[in-house]
Amino acid sequence: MRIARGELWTGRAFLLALMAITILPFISIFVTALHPSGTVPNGLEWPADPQWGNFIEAFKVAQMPALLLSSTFIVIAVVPVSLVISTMAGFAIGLLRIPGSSVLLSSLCSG
Amino acid sequence: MKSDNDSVAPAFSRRFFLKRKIRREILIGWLFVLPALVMYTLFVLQPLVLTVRYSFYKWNGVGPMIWVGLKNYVTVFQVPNLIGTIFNAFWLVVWFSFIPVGLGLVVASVIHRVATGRFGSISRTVLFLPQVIPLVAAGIIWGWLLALPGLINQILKAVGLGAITRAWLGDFNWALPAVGLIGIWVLLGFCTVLLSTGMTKIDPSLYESARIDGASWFREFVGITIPLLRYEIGVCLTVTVIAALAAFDIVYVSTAGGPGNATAVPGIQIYILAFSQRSIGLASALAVMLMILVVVVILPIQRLSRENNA
Repeated sequence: MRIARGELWTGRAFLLALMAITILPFISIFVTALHPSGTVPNGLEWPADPQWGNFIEAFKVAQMPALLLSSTFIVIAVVPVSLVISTMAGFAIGLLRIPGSSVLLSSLCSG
Repeated sequence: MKSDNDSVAPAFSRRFFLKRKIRREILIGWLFVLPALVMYTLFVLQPLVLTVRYSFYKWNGVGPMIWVGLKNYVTVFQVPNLIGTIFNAFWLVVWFSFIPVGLGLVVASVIHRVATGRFGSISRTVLFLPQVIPLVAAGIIWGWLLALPGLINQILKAVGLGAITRAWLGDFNWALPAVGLIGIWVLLGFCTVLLSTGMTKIDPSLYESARIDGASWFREFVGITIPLLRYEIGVCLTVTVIAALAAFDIVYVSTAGGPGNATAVPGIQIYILAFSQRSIGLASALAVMLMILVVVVILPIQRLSRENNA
């Protein structure tokens, strides 16, 4: 399993470049989040006075507790029900071998 | 004689009993399927049937419905703005599907060959990151990056390409590729992870023998990786093609179909027709056509990957 050294480093450089491109938008939005509100920052410039309070502000303005509560409610309501229903259907289709199961399976999957 | 009769009777009754048991099992099976079937009918079948039905009417959502037959479908074909969205959708397939799958194959095989250790798993994780954020957030982030004072233009200026800076999402020729770029960013990680998982299932001795024969990375790639990954490639293509044809979130947030109709895809157009212009019938007709289109495009991909796999 010997690989030429040149190829090794070309491959790794390629991966690194791709990772940099992928991660760039995240860095950009994080830096933007630290700027004082009302300003349009220029790219990746680190703000002179990082506004960590922006996060708390956003949390308050968006009424995060209420939103999170709705999300939690959806998760609690949806996940168990769909889990139970689909497990039952999967058990019946897979193990009990009812007639027409292949048609049933493909139509359920397409839905 | 008697003993003969005796041996026949239990056999018969056992068979009868078995049959009844099977029948019972089938009944129980259907009972198990029933809840899923009810949900399916309620939330998949019913909207589907309703959409098909609406597509034959002229309806504004509240007033009386007027039967117009196939006129809505004719309209979709005749109005350039509507049929154009379908061409845009196919353009988007190139950006959302062919490029991520192709690039994903290359990345996965590079990881497989030169970065098997921790570096490989880190790069897989990083490339997968865009998948975990909501598409709406991806659209907003890239909307800023691609704007006139955004990061992309600053980088271009920094490397001396200031002449080609523009508001990428507001340019008639560049808006669609710019949206496509967002799609590549989001979908590349998914393809890479799926394909690398598939690659770990390939027998390493194949690669070893190829390397003993002095095969280059490219020979290995074309000769071993691609043929043995047909099934995974099929899955990737299916998911990404559906993402492209049914694209809505990214496009709506970043351009909302503009400028003009440069990035209008069927999803956007259906939304606009149904909720802004209140022509439910026309929107339904376009939706039905989009659905048929997706099925028509997906079926050959499925068949291809299955057949070659078997």
